[in-house]
Amino acid sequence: MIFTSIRIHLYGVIPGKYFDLQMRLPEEFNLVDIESKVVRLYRRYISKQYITPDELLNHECIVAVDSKGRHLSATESLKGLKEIWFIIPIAGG
Amino acid sequence: MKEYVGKLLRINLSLNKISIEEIPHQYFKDYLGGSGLAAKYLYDENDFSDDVFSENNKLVFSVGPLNGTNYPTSGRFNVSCRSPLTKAWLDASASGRFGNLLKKAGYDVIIIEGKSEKPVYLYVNNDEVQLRDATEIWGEKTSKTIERIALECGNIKGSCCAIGPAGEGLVKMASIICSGGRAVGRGGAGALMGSKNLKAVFVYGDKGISLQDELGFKETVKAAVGKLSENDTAKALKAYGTGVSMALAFESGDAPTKNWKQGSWDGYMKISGITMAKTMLKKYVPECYACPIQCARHVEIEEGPYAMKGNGPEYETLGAFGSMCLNDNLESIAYANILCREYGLDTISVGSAIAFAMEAHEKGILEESAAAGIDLKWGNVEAILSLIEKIARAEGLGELLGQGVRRAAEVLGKGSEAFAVHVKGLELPMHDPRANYSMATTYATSPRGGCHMHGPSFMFERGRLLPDAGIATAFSPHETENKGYLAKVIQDYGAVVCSSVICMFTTVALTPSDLSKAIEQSIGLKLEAAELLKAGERIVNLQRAFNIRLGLSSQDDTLPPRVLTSVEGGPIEGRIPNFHQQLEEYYCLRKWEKDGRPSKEKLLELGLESVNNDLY
Repeated sequence: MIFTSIRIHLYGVIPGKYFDLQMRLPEEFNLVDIESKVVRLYRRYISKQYITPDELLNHECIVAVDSKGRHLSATESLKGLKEIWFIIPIAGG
Repeated sequence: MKEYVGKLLRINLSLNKISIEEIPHQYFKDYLGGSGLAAKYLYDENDFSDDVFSENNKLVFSVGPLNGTNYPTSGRFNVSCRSPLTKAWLDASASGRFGNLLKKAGYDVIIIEGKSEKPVYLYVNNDEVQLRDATEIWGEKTSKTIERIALECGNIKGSCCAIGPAGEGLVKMASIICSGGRAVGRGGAGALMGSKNLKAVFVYGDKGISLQDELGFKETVKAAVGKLSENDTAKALKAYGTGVSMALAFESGDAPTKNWKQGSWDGYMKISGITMAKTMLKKYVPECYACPIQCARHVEIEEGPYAMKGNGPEYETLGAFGSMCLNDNLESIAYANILCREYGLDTISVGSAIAFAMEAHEKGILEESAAAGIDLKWGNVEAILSLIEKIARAEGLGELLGQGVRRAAEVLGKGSEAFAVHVKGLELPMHDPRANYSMATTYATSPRGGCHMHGPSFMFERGRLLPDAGIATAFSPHETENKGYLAKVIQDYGAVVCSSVICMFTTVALTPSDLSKAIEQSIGLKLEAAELLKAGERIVNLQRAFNIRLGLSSQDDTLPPRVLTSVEGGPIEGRIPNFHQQLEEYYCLRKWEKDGRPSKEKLLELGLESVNNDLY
C-alpha cells in the first residue's frame, strides 16, 4: 500500500490549544479517516461537545478546510491534499 | 442604592473652575452608567453646531455600576463626545485600571468643557482635584507623558490617560492612550482633548466601596470568573490574544484583505496570534484589572529594524496593517502598533487610510507627486511606517489621510468614493459583513458609524447563543432572515455592556441575567434581564436621537459600495448580504420612521418624552 503524509492543523479543537501534527495515511483517504485518528489520539483532551457518537469531529462546532479555505465534505477523496485545518470558529477581536 | 457614588466632576477649562454635582438616581436606572450616562449628559448639554472643536463640545469620562468592584474586567472606563472624525456620536472605552480608580476616587462622571489657555493636565486624587500645568510635557509621546506625570504626581498606583502629538495636532483619528498602553481608540477623542489643551488625566482613588450584598456579590464574582475561565473562546483569547481570530480568516473570509477587495491571501497565518506566540510573545504583564481572560499581549523584538517591546498588536491592528495592506511581516505590524500608541492614533482608521491610499495609487488616482517619494505599492512596509509618521504629524499626504477615508475620497474624487470603506465617516473594523451578514445591519446603524463594539453580532453567527436576550437558536452567517433582529438584540445588549463599562469579551460567557444579578448585589439597583435590555434599547435610541439632532438621517444608514460587491476569490466569493431587506427588518423592529427618527411611540415607550419634543 502506498502511504502519504499530511499536515493537520488543530486550531481550538483542544480548547485553548493551536498546534500542528504530521499524519501518515494511505494515499487514498477522506475526512473520516483523519477525524477518527484525531479522536483516537486526543479524545481525553477534546471537549465532549466536539465529538459525535460516531467518534468523529462534530461539524456543528468544527470546520474542516483546505489551505485555500474550501470546506471539505466527509466522504470526498482527499488524495493529494497536503494540509488540512480543523478550526473552532471563534470570532473575536 | 449604596454603591452608586452619584458624583459628577465638572471641569471648565476656560474658567479654570472645578465643581461637583449630584447625579440624579433616576439617571442610573434609565442609563446605567458609562456610555449611557454620557449620552444623557451630552444630549442635554452639548453643542450641536457644525464646529466639532467648539469649546462647548464636551468630553465625558464615565464609569458604570460594576467599576470599583472586583467584577471581571471592571477596570474599564468610557469616553464620550461628538466625534471629530465623523461629527456624530462617539463613545469608546479602554481597559486597564483607570475605571476602577476613578470610581474609588468617588466619581462616576467627569465632564470636561471649555478650553484651557495653556496646556494642562487634570489631577484627581480622591477629593483633591487640580488642573496642573502641562507646558513642559506638551509635544511628548504618550508613554513618556504617562511616565512623567506618574513621577510628578509621586504616585505609581494611579492611572493616567494621555494624548500624543497626533491629538495635540488635532488629527481626527487621534486616540487616547492609557497606562499599560491600552487605547480609547476610535473616532478621534484624542483630537478633542488636544483642542482643549488637555494633555492628560491622572486619577487615583482608594475610597472603600460598600456593596449592597457583599457575600452574594462575592459568590457572583466567583461564578463569573469560573464561567469565563471555562469558556473555550476565553481560553483561546488567553492563549493567543485577539490575534487568534486571524486563524479563521481564510476559512470564514472575516478579515478584510487588500482594502476589502481580495477574498484570500497566503499571509493570514504569518500574522496570527499563534505566530506571535511562537516568535515574539513575552511573559504576560497583567494590565487589565480583574480580568480572567487576559487577552492583552506583551511582545518583544530584540533586534533589527523593528526592534521594540511593549503591547502586542490586537486582531484589529493585525488586519489593518496586515491583510488590508497585504503586509505579512508580523514584526513590522508590531512596530506600527507601537508607533500608533506613541503618537496616539487609532490603528484601525490609520491602517484603513493607508490601504485606501495604496489602492488609489494603484489606480492612478493618487499621483506620484502627492505620494512625495513614498512607494505605495501593496505590502510595502516602509510606506506603511512612513505614512503613520506623516498622519501623526499631519504632513504631506498624511495630512489628508488623517482626516479619514471619507474626506480623502472627497478630495481625490475620480471614483475613489467606491473604495473608501467607512460608515458615517468611521472606517470599518476588520470584520467583513459578507462573511457575517448581520454586520451589514450593525455597521449601517451603529450610532458611532462603522463600529463592531456597539454590537458585535458577528460573534453570534458562529453558533453562540444568548437565550435570555432572545438568541435561542444558532444563526447561519450567510442567511438574510433575522439579521435585523440579531443586530438589534446585540446592539441593545452591547449598550448594556458599554454602560456597565466592562469588556465586550465577557459576552462570550456572561448573560444579561448574570449582569442583572451582579448589578443588584453591588449597588442595589434591581433590573431584571429584560429591563436591563430595555435600558440598552433606551440608550441606543438616545444616541440615535443625538445624531438626528446633528442632521443625520436614514440616508446615513448605508454601507460603502465596496462591501456590497463580491470579493475576488476565497470562501465568501459571490456572497453579498441582502442589506436592504435586513435594514427594513431592523427599522421595523426598532420602530423607527422611514426618515430614521425613532417613532413617537417608541420614544414614549422608553420614557424619552423630552427627546420626543425635540424630534417632533
